[in-house]
Amino acid sequence: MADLQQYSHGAGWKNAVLRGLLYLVLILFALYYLFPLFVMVSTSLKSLTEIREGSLISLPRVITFDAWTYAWNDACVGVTCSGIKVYFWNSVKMAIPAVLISTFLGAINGYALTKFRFKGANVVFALLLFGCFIPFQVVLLPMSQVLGKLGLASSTPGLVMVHVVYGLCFTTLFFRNYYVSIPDELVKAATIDGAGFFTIFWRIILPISTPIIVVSVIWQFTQIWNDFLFGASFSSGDNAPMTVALNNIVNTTTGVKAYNVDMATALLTGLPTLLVYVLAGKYFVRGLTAGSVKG
Amino acid sequence: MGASSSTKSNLTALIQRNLSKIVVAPSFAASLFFVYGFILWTAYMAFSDSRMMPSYGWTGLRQYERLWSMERWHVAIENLLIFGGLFITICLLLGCLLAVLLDQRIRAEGALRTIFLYPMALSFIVTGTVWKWILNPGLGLENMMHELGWASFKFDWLINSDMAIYTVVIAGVWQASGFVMAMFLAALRGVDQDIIRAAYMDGASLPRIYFGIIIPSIRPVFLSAIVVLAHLAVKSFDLVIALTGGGPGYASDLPATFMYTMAFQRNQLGIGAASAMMMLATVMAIIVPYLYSELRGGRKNG
Amino acid sequence: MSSLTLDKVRKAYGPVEVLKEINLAIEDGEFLVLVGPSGCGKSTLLNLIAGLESSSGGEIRIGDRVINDVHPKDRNIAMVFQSYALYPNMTVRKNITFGLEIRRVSAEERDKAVASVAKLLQIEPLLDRKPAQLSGGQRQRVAMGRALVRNPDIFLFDEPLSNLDAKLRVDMRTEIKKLHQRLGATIVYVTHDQIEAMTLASRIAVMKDGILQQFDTPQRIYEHPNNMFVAGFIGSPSMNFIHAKLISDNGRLAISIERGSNPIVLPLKDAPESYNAYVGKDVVFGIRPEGLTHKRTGSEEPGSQYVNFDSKVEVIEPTGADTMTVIEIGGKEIVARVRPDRAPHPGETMTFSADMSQISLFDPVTELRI
Repeated sequence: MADLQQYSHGAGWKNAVLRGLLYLVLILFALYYLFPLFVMVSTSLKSLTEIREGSLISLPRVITFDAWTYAWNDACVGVTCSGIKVYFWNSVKMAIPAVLISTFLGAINGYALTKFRFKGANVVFALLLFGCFIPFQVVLLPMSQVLGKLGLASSTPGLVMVHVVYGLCFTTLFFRNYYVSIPDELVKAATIDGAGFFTIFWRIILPISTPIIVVSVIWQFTQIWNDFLFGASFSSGDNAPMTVALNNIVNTTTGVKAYNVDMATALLTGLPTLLVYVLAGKYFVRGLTAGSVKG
Repeated sequence: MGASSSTKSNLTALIQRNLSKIVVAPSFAASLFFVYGFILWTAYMAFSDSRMMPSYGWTGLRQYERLWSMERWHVAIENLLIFGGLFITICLLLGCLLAVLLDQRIRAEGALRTIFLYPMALSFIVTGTVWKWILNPGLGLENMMHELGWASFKFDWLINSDMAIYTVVIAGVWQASGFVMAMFLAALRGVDQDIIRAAYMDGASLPRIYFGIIIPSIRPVFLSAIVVLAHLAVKSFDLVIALTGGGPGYASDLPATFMYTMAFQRNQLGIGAASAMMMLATVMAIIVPYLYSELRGGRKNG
Repeated sequence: MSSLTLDKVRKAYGPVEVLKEINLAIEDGEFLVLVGPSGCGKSTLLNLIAGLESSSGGEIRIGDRVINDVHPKDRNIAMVFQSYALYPNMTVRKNITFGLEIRRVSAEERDKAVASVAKLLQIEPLLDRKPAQLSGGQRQRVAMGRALVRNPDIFLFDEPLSNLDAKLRVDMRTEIKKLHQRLGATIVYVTHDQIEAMTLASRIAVMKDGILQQFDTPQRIYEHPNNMFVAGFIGSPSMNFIHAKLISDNGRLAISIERGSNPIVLPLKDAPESYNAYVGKDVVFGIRPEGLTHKRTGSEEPGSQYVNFDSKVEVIEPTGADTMTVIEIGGKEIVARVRPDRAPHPGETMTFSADMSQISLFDPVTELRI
């Protein structure tokens, strides 16, 4: 920590003023970042009439959860008006398998690429890594054809496959960087103890991978849950994930614009990732910076 | 190995020795097909006469010519420059400022960090939706200012073709600047304390120490942040769709939305493919030199 | 327990040869120390013996068994690593028994084995802790326990003490020596610390640049180093090297060291035959600090092994037991080992005795012992 504070022993009042200013600036920024969240929550709890009469920052006079229940049960996505619950579960059914599969593959790839290096392991890694950086627009057209040929077009398994394939490079990167910092001697010791490739992986490497598993799961979950491009391109109607449904509701031009429902839907869409972030964000940062394992 | 006599145990030994390769092979194959294969496929489509359906009649550079003759593509490119430039610059400045401010032994630093960073957890669609609501001229910010007594306040960027792209910048900065802050903060914490102590003993003032020593020493993080932000900017698709839908008209189109519109709504697969290739080229121009230097640097340690 | 033979063992990574035809053989129960500066190939050699890397040529035998192509787990060896390489997720007990478990030793026998090893190493109270809860010295013991429990033919130690602080290092060194004496195990031990090599080894292999420089008992290596590298590497402070000329002084061979108009002439005692070819030529005169002392009693008697000369003292460095005295001879700084009560002050001129029975001469070009 750049503890420069400890060095500033100047005039007391001048310091106090500076500190006060510092906190003021930080609080103003905090308000800026919180403002949209506040607007979302307060709007979602208002009735439409109150929205039209009141202002953006006014608190709801009467708190009503109508918008939330309407969004969950009755909101119209396209022509079907059965709420976004269907799409919420679509996203869950898509995200969980995709996160688990891509994390597992990343772990075993990272392990193989660092602890059982073969000739060309670096090249293989570099080639895999490249996939992290391509703009996905460049694979959209072939992918939609391949999904069609495989009979996976507009299906949740199809989206799972897409997310696994393009998440692999990230998970491999995470695990590889983590495993590089684990001493090779651990694997050597286990080899001399008589353990083989998979035994070492299951019994020794995986049990000490918790920090990076957390990173990989959080990253993949937010990526997949928040994805819109693949969802919009490779799903349709009842198979769409949450983000696509949200966009659909918000941009529907027919009928009265129900801002409270939009905001409730947006909150519902953002809630899982926000929850993950608030509960486990600490471990995410810690895991990303986690270096070697003592022992 | 040496002792194995039958073919079967030879095979087992062979598998044992190559387990590592065997394990990586599926991912590698998937990457070869879904990344490299698809890029080539798209590249080929960009040379074809594909319209509504993929077709493989060779037309050379015809699609690229059509692409570059489209007014809309030029708008998208121009928007990318505006958006990318502002988005990266503001995120860097804001992120750096916040990191330095947070680095002053702040009480409740954890809470503030969480507040600055949480937008990153949200989908761009959510961000777009909420900013669309805040910025809408009827009931949003404009209305709020009127209620507060500032009757002449006018804020109609969302529906103003000249200004729409700037609303994307506003929302984008809100979402990503906290992430840049986190990167910088981590780097600031990694700066060698002895250097700072030495500078202090030499009589350098606090701003001097920051501008003269600390910030220059975390230069690599600037580079990483720029690469990440540039990458985000080129890929930005969801945000535009949710916030402006590319409108009014196509005033706030970005290459990403342009490609999507061409490929999936206008039945111009060829032009879509050509624009995707242009996007790839842009990203590569940023990423490849960066990766090259990163991997070369990494080899020294590993 | 077993003997170990390395026969023309080579290792190359592509065109880079890291080990060149290493020949070594130790008997059952010997303590072999591989010593050399970092990058000399000693750890690679240990990995070849362990089977963690495969050799590019030559033969490795444990007892009569050629093990080149035998998997590490079937070589019946155990290894203690520099970082200890304890499995962080397992308790000490689990760490020690992991190898037995993999080899399907029954739970009952495992418990017995752990108990006896824990007793031997005095780590019984630690058995249910995780490695993160142990101190450096304790981890070191557990790492040794993991090796001991397997009762292997050969123990391999890869710089096991280099992560410990100085005091603990000396204690553990003694303990390893005791353990060796008690178990009579065959041990191959890698270190870059020549003191460890001297104190532990029954035989030392000094390596540099992938070449075996000398393979001999500690005392022989100390007294008769094969070349200037070995001479300089073993012993602390290092051997002094002085550029000199071998001359014939009234039919007696002597070392002549240039010093302005007044050269130092040190007559040799019992010069071996091999010196004759170098008469009148440049040589490197090597003498250890303890061979250069304050003036000895009896050094002026004829036929004494001591030769006296005067020199100005530059710096003194007391170590308690002795005072290292730096003097300048032949344009080089030379260290003499002087008894504290005879120690001079800097700037003084003092008479030193050179013990001519403990010297080495080297060829200045090939750097080999003459």
